[in-house]
Amino acid sequence: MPRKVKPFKKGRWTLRTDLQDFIYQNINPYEGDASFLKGPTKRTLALWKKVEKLFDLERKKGGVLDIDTEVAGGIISHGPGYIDRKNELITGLQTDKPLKRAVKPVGGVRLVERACEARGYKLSPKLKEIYTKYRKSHNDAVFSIYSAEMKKLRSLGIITGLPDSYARGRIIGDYRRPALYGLAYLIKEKEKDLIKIDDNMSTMAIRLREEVSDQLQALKDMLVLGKMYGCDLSRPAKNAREAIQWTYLAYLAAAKESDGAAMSIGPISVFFDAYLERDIKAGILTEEKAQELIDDLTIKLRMIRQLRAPEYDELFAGDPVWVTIVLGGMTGDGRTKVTRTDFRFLNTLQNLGPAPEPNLTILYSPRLPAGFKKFAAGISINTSSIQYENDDLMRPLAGDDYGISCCVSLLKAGSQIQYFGARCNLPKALLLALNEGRDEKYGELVVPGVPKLKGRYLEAEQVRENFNYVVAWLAKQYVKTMNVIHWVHDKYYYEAAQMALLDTNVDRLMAFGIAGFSVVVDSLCAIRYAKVRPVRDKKGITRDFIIRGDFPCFGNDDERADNRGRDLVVSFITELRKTPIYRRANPTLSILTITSNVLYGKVTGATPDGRKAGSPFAPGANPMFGREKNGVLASLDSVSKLPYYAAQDGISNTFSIVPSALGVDAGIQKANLIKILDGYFTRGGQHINVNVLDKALLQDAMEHPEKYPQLTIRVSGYAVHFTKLSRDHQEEILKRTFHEAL
Amino acid sequence: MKKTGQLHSIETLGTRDGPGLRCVFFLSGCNFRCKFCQNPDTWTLKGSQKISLHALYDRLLRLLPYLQKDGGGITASGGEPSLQPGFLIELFKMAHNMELTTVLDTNGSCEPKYISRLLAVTDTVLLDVKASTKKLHKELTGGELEQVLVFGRRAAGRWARQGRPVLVLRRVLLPGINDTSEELEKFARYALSLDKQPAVELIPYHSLGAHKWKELKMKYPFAGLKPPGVKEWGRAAEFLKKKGLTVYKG
Repeated sequence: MPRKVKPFKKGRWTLRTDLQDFIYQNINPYEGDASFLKGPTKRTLALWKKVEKLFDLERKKGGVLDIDTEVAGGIISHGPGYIDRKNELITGLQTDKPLKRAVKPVGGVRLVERACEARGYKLSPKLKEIYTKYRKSHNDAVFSIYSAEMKKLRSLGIITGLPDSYARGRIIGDYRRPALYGLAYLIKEKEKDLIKIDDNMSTMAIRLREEVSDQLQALKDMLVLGKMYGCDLSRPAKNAREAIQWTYLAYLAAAKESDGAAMSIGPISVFFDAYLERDIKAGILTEEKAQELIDDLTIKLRMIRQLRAPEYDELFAGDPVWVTIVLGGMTGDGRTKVTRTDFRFLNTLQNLGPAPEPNLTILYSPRLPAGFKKFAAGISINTSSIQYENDDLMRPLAGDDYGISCCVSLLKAGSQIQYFGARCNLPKALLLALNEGRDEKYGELVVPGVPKLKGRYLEAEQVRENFNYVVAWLAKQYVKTMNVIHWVHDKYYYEAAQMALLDTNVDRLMAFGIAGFSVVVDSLCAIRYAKVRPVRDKKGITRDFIIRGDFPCFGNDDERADNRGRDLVVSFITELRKTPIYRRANPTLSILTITSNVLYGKVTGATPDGRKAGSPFAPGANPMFGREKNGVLASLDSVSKLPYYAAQDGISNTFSIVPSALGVDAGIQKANLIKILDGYFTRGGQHINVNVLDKALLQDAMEHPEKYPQLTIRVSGYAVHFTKLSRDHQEEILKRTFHEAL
Repeated sequence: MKKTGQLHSIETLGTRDGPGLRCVFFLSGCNFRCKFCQNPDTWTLKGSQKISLHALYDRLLRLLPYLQKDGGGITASGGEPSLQPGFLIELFKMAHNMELTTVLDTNGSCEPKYISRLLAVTDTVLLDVKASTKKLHKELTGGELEQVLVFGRRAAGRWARQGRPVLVLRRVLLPGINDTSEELEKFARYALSLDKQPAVELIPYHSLGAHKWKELKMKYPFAGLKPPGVKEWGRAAEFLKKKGLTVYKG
């Protein structure tokens, strides 16, 4: 017998837009185990089977099933589209057909043209004409502004992978707002905000007024998108299904409008849980149906696709979109944010099998309920599809309601954005310091004024001085380049749908990054503790290094190396802070490479740590392969020592272990993984990817990809289908340290 | 009080040699020369590093959040750790002060005058009894069996009287060599004769350490020996179980 649906508990959130308060008032913490969970229904399995077939077709067609080359993507450009209309509980596709990708030429028409050609398609001449003759694209605009120096740093691979040739992404709209408040209310609020922006029509005010007008248009387009799928988004969601549907459509609007590199969906789980539990209590929903809704949403999120240019694939392998969902965490008042719906999301990995998307991220604290930890550890061991991030470290910065952007980057929900800035190739910076500011590949002068090194061997003090000089010079160029990119991005490729679902006056971060971290730390150690003689060519450029003697390496809990790592991070962010930043954004720093460690390594000459020219860097903040001599905990401890306060955009660590090294049986393996996570996060580690795999399995998957369509592996802040990676990327993963049993 | 020791290497994640997560210290130097040794590189002090208690203290302090739960702690292995008794005793005392448990992986050849002091700071003794007949023991290890049996007897005695250290007898199972009925019979008789009955860990022999012999330019004596199959391991385990012993796989 259905009972009356109990209204949500009121609070500040009823007076103004405040999702954190809504959650605070209506959270249902769950401290039990996984025994309440249900398997997939017949309907779910039938629908999933259809989607798997489409995935298979997509794979066979080389990774892209279809492209609409005629219509530029936007919130209401396409649709409605269905997989199997009668059997879908949550509806909405990016175009009129599943897995068909739309073009977004406003990002860069030549890039879209190349992306089409790489897949055997041709961009419509009409679109080409529009975005060449009448409308400037983001990519064209950036290059019309770049200085000669910026172009040089970019083309030599020193500051690279920048969002000047793809959309920056990283913004997380608060997609829950339409469900809780309805679009009519949100439109009214934005209209009020618009009236208030005046400031004597300063440049800032003019820009913001234009942006808010764009946001209002986006909200109105969302209403139309809702209508296409028979949903009245003007009003709040009445039940759990509607809450999930409304939220998904808001996300869909963003994914249709923009092809940002990473488009996370934020803290939706605890929000959905309030609705699901309310419906279950009222007797209008069963556990089976609740799981079905989460399964159905997950199917949709696994189908999000963007058209990428080949250059992009080299940086970010495996066709990722980073639909990052955060689960777990604690509230400031000591309750857990773990709900039954967090279990349900993890359960999708069992019901539908492992997959890289959505990017399930557990906000971890040793205080999380034991039942949840145990369930998550088991899923990690079985699927290698989960990442963990330190809630105790991030909560004090972000409060109780935050999401993870892309892989490891903290963003307050609804009130904070970041300007993404890829990364600086630090080993190249070191080589500039050793070569009088000349690039090690072509001998071209990049950084003026770097003194020549004296002596046959590298001398630590001289190298340090030169390196600091180069870092300071590069940091300044880096900030300037980012200022250009994001000014242009805001102007030419503004993410109106996402920004419409955020506060009008957002807090801005500018996220810088470094790649090749452990290569540089080890190189500095080699120069300090061993004898390193550079081998120089006729022009005096270093070609190789001869190393005599031992030196400490990062990843061994050796303070000599780890202290150098700390210094490196702190000095880089300190330099970045010296140059004024666009829109007064606060600079942050990440030690995260995603999969670009392979590409960055490829374009970088030999380094003083003994790494050969062209070979990959370790990913993120990982120690270099094969240099960890003291086992797992020492390796983890070196990474956990890196100061988060200096790298608040995230410190990524990818950890791979063979199952037998974790313990003799499944129960012990789970218990030990929990102990490792508890220890790592107590020690202040920020992020960890957990892979529990045998190398032999990956080797087999390289030879017989058809046998492993769902084999998923965490790479650097995200997961991929192993078989979707290029050979280069697969080989790099095999080179990584797989911690083995004694 | 010995403040420095000779260390071969550290494995910070041990999940097999005792409860919880364990940091394993491999101390350098061994007085046995087992023909099936997996770590012949730890026999001599060549390549070992001198390490101070102070340095290990700093390291353990950082690892405490991992090691302190569920009875985790440190394990001393080697080489033969009891060849550095002064250092080993101090190391174990230090671990106890940090609320870490101590496991000693030993061949039982500790110099008699140190035995009681060492046992007093040890929570678990993993005692390798590589053979139970005098001749075979000498042949396989180069060491005397008697000292091993004495060490086990004293550990069990202390265990019975003071509740610590727990004793586990270990045997690496070499098919056709130390799993004969005579061998197993004697092994069981010894285990049952102790003041408190130890569990038995039967470790199937494997040849994964063979490459180290090659690297050290030594001939691996058991080049042809095959690891025991499930059946052979089961037969030995069954034999010991029938005698009333608790057996598990290592």
